[in-house]
Amino acid sequence: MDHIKLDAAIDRGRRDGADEVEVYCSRVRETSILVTTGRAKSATTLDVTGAGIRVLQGGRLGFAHTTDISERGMELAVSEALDMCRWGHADEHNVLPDPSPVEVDDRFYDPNAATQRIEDQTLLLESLHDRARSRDPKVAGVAELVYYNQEQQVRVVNSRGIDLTSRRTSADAGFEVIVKDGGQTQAGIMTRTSRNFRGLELERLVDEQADQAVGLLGAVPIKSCNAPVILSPFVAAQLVSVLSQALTADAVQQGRSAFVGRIGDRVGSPQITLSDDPWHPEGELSAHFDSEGVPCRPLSVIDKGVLTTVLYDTVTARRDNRQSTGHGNRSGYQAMPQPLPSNLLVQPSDLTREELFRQADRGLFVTGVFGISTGGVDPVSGNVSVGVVGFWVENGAISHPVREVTIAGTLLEILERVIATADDLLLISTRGVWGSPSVLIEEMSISGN
Amino acid sequence: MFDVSVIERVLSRALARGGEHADIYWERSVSRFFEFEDGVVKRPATGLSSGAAIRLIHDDRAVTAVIAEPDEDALLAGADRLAAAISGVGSGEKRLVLDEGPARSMSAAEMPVAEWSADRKIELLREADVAARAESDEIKRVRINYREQSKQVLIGSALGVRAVDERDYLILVVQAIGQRNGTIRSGISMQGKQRGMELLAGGEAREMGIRAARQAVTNLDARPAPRGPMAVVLNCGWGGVLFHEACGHGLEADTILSGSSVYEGMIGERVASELVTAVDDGSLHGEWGSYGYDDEGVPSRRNVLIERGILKGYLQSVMTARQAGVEPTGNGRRENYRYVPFPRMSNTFIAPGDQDPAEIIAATDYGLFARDLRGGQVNPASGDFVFVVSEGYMIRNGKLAEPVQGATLIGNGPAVLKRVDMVGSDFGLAPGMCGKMDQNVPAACGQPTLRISEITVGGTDQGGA
Repeated sequence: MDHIKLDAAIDRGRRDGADEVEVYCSRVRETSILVTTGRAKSATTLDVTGAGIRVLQGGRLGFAHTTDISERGMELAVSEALDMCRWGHADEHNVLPDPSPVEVDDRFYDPNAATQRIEDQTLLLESLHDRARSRDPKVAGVAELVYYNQEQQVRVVNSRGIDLTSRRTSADAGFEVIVKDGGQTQAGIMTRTSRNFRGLELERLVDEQADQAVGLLGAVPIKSCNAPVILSPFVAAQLVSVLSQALTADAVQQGRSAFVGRIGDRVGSPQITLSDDPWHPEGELSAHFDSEGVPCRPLSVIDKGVLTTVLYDTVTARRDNRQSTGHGNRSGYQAMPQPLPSNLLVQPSDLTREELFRQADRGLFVTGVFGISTGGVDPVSGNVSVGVVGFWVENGAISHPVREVTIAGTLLEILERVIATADDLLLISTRGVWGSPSVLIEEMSISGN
Repeated sequence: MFDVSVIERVLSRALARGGEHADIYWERSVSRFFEFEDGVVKRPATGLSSGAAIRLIHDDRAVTAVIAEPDEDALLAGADRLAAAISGVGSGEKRLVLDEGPARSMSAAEMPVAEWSADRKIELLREADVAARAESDEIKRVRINYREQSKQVLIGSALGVRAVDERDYLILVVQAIGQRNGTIRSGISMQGKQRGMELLAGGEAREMGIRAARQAVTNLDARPAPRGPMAVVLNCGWGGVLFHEACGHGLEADTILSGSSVYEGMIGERVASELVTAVDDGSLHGEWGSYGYDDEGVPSRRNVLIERGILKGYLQSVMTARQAGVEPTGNGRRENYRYVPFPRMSNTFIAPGDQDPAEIIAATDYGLFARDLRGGQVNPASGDFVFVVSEGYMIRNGKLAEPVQGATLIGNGPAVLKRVDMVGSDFGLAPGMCGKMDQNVPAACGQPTLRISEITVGGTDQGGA
C-alpha cells in the first residue's frame, strides 16, 4: 500500500484550500467459502483497496471515498470531499488528531493464516456436515456454513503529521445445524470470530450446536411468568452489540442513549464489567491505533457496575473537552470515523455454566434469540422485547425445551440484575466484534401462552 | 463500462479449461449522503465505488474472483485464475458471442436528483425537521438521513446476454425523539423509491416529519402492552414485512435446497388462508426493490408465490435454478460487486382483497392494531418469528382505544398465514433493507390492512393476561 500516493492527496487538498486533510486507505484480501449440506458450493477470492478522504475547511467537514486509488482518482476524491464541505456547518469541534506515540507491532497478524491451505480448510468444512449427522439420527446436517479468511492492511495519514500502518488477520464462520423429527424442525445457529481458522474450533462448536438443537425438539411455550434467565454467550453477545449503540459519545451527546447524564453512576450490578479490548488476541478488530491514528488500549466502560466513560473519537471528545479514548473507528474505508468500539466484551468469571444453572436453581436458559437486530432492542429507550428459544432449568439442571416465548425488560434492568457470569466467553463478528460468557439475570418478564 | 467484445473475451477465457457457465457482474455506484440534525447538515459524504465479480460454475460449484476498479487485463487475469481453479474438468476453447440485451431500468425519476442543488435538498430536510418540532414541545431531537445512490450495472452471461441496468435510489429517514419526565421514546418515518425529487418535493418531507413526531408522542402516551393471544390487525403497507420475514425467506430456493425451509416440498399445497395471494415483483416501475435485470442478467418479472392460499413457486437464482432444473425467476441479487448472488425478494406483497379496512377494525371486539412495525426476525427452519410493534393501539369493541408500547408479535409463519381471516381493499408498499448472509439489499414490503384471528402478543404489562 506504500505505493499509493497518500501524501500527494494531502498536498493537493491543502493546495485547494483545505485546512486539514486525512486519508485512510485499506486493502482487504479475503477468501470466503460457502458450504451447503457438506458440499462447498461457492469459493470467492476478493482483493479490494479503497480510500476515504476527510477534509476540514473553516470548521466544516467533508468526506469522499473511492475505489479509484490512481493519482487522478485520489485528486478527484479530494475535490469531491472539499465540495461536500460547502454543505456541512462550521463546528469548532471538527478537528483532526495530532500525532502521539504509538507502539505498533505485528501481533495481530498471523503469518500462518495466509499460508494455510484453502483446500485443506475446505475439506474440513465439508466434513462438518457428516460429523453433525453422526451425533444423532435426528440431525439432518449442517444446512449452511459460511467461512471467511481475511487479511487487512491499513494506513492512516493526516496533515498534522500522523502516518501509521498496520495489518491483521482474522477468520470468521457462521453455520446452521438443522435437526428434524417427524414434522418438527429446529435449528442450531452459531457464529464465531478468531485470529485464524484453528481458533474457530468449528468441530467443537458444531457438536455443541447439534446436541443443543436435538435437545430443542419437542419445545413448547411455557406460561407467562417472571423468572431468572440465563443468556447463552451467543445471545448475550448479540445484546452487547445493541448496548454498544448507547455507549458512544455521540449517542449520549445527542440524547439518543439510556446513559445520558449517567457517567460515573452505578448502572449495573457489581457482577458486570464491560470492556472494550482492542488488544484481545482473538478479536477481529484488534489494533494499536484507531482509524484516525489515535492510540487505543483496553478500557473498562462499565467497571463492576459503574459507568466509567463512554466511547470517544477526536471530535466528540473535543465537544466534552476531554481526550479521545481511541475509538474513532469505521466500518471500512467508505465510512467516516465515529465513536465505535473495537472488541467489546462482558468479562467472564471462573464459574462454569453448570455452576450458573445451580446458582439459578430454576429459570429459562436462552440459547437462541430472534429480533435483536431488527427492533427487538431499542437502544434509545433501552426497551428489550425479543423472541427466544431455549431450555427450562429446574433444580439447577436442564429440564425441557421451550419455544415461542418472548423475554422483555430494559437494558438497564438487565445490567442491574446480573447475578453472575460464567467462564465460557465467545466472540462474534456482526458489524463489530462482541463477546460475552453465559450471564445469569435475577429476573425477567417471560411471555408465553 | 466494458464493451461487449471485452466481456466475450473474459468469459471465453474463464471457460477455457472447462465449466458449464460463466458470468461477469460489473457496477459503478455513486452515492451522496447527508445527516441533518439539530437544524444543520452534519457529516456530508459522497462516494464512488466500482468493481467486478467474475464467476465460473462447474456442476453445482461456483468459483468467483472479485476485483475493484478493474481494467481488461485485470479481468482476464481473474478469469485465468478461475479457469485454473477448476482445471482438468474439461477443455476446449469456447468462443462466446453475446447478444446485447435492451437496456432495461425500473427507475422512474421525473425530477432527477442531479438536477437539484444540494441547497434545495437541504431545504426539504429543514422542512421535515421544523414540522416535527412544531408537532410537540416534547420532541427534543430530530435526526434525518438523506441518501441518493445511482448504480450502473452491467452483466455478461454465458447464457448469451449482455445486460445493462440503471438503478437510482432515493431514501429519507426521519427519526423524532420525544422526552417526557425521564422517559425517552422515538418515532420513525421512512420513504424510499427509485424516483427523483418528486418523492419529497410536494410536501412529503414535511408530512414525514409530522408522522415521526406523532409516533414518538404516541409512544410517550402509550401504556405497557398486554401479553397473551389476541386478534391482531396489521396496517396497510409496511405491515407486509411480516409476510416478508415469516414466509418470504422460506420461499427463497437456497433455503429449500439446503433443507432449512418449512416450505420444502409444499408446492401445490395449502400454506395460507384462501384470502392470501402473495406476489414478488421486481418489475414495478419506480419501486424501491425493483431492477431491470437481476444481478445475474435475468430480466425481473412478476412471480406469484401463493395464490388463494396455495403455494405456487419459489424464488430462484441462476445457481438454484440449475440445481432444481427450473427457470431462473429473476431473483439473483447481491449487495454489490463484493458479494456473490443469492435468491432474494424484490418487492414482496400480499395482494388486496375486498373488505373495507374500517370494517376490519369494527369487526374486532378485542385485539391489537399494529399501525407500524419496526422489523422482525424469523427462524426459517421452524418458521417461528418475532416482530416489534413500533406503534400499536388496543382495539376494544370495534374501536381504536389507547396506544400501547413494547408489544411484540410472536408466532409461526405457516400457522399465522392460515389465520388471516380478513383482507382489506387498500394497498401500500414500503421500503426496507433486507439482510441475508450479511448482505443488505433494497426490498419493499406491502399488503392491504389485514387481520390475523389470533397471535401471541409479548408485552411488558406486569398485570399479564
